[in-house]
Amino acid sequence: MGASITKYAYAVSGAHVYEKNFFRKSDMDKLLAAPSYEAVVAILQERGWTMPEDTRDSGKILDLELSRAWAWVQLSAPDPSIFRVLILRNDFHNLKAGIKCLLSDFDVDAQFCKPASIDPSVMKEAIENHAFNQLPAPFAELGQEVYDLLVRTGDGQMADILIDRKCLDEITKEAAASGVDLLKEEMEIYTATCNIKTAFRAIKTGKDGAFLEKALSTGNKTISREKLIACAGAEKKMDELYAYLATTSYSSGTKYLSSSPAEFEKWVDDQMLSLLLPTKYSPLGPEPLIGFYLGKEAEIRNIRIILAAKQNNLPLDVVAGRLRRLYE
Amino acid sequence: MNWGMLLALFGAGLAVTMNCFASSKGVGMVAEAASPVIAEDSSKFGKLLVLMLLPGSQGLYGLVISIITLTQIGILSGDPIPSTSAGVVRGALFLIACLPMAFGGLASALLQARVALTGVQLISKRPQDSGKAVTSASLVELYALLSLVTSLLMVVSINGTMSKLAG
Repeated sequence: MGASITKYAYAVSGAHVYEKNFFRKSDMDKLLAAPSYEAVVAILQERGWTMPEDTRDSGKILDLELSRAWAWVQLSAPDPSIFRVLILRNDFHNLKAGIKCLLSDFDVDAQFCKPASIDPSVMKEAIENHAFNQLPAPFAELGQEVYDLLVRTGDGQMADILIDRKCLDEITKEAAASGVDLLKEEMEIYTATCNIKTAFRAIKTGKDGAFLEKALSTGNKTISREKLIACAGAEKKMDELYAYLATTSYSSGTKYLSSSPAEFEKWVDDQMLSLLLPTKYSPLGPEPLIGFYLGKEAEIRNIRIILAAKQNNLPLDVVAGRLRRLYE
Repeated sequence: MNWGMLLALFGAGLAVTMNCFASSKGVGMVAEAASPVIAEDSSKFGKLLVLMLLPGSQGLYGLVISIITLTQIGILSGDPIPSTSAGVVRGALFLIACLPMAFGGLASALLQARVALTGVQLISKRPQDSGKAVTSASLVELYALLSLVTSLLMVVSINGTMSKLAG
């Protein structure tokens, strides 16, 4: 029994207690069957979810709940820093949203994602004052670079590429540094499928290999960046891409790429979740906490879909087909 | 220097130290894991207490072996092992006799704590299965008992065997 994993006894037990309140498939069916948005919110409230003042803002309800789960991980984990990679993409999203909102006079607060490792108010202040050096690495340098680029050229797409690629590179780096195999595997799927989606969209919109060279992140073990770039330079680009993806571990999901990107997203989420299921019964180690947080994210993702469907009166069968696998 | 006494005392110390280390770590871990469950539902404390206590038994077994060894080597009766070559052999035999308890207890306490941890989670989710959780953790206890019996038989028979050989 490794000395470090025994430190997780309290955190893992607490996470397993907390998980008992997670929504199951039957609970999701109840939410789906609820007659209105207000009825869904009432069910969430009954389950002990904290509600913001304005319950019409579904984003705030979900942010509060996810932040609560994240706070538990931070509070109970003996080494909270290894879990930062789970929310790293929120920080990069906040940087992107903050700079774009500043330049287009949108309300930035509504665009920030929570939880984030950098307090959104700190991020906002640094961006508004153009004081990117107040942010930690790599956000300081990246923020300045993206801000200068947008002011100089107004090229939003290039700004997105710079931030998204740096985000994926950092996720790969931090996951590797964590030394936790589950985290490495989860983040490998996430970053590799992000690269697949980027390559697919780039080829579909007629972009060349030079574009992909800038856009694709490095460090993936399950997908070859060079081969994706080569597909963009081939004569029958899309056929080449499908032929290559058929040789990878993502072959069963790539059939959804052409029919529906949303289906592909669902497939990726389900793949990531199925990796977590064995951790549900682990008594020690960081893995159950990773399962706990990503399991909560899956639950939140489903409730977000249901709340949006209720607000927009979408048909139930379409919504049910979009729901992700749960951590149960 | 009385090397025989030194070796025997080292064995007695090893038996109690290693077992108490493993037991305190095991009990601590299970108690840590039990606290969120108790915080959620304090009525489960009784069921969890048994699981918390189970990895603690090895510490007691180590103490038993240690006390018997101290008695046998005469440190309590004031008739210690003589500082002779035969005394060194006797001391070495006591050290060897303490090893099964020292290592068997260490391993079994830590592994029992791990089983007890899964038991805590079982009770948290299905309190009606507390008996199964306790039985599972108790199975590991058997190997601590085997270590205890082995060390005990060795420790109590060394003096008699040495006397017969000398006679």
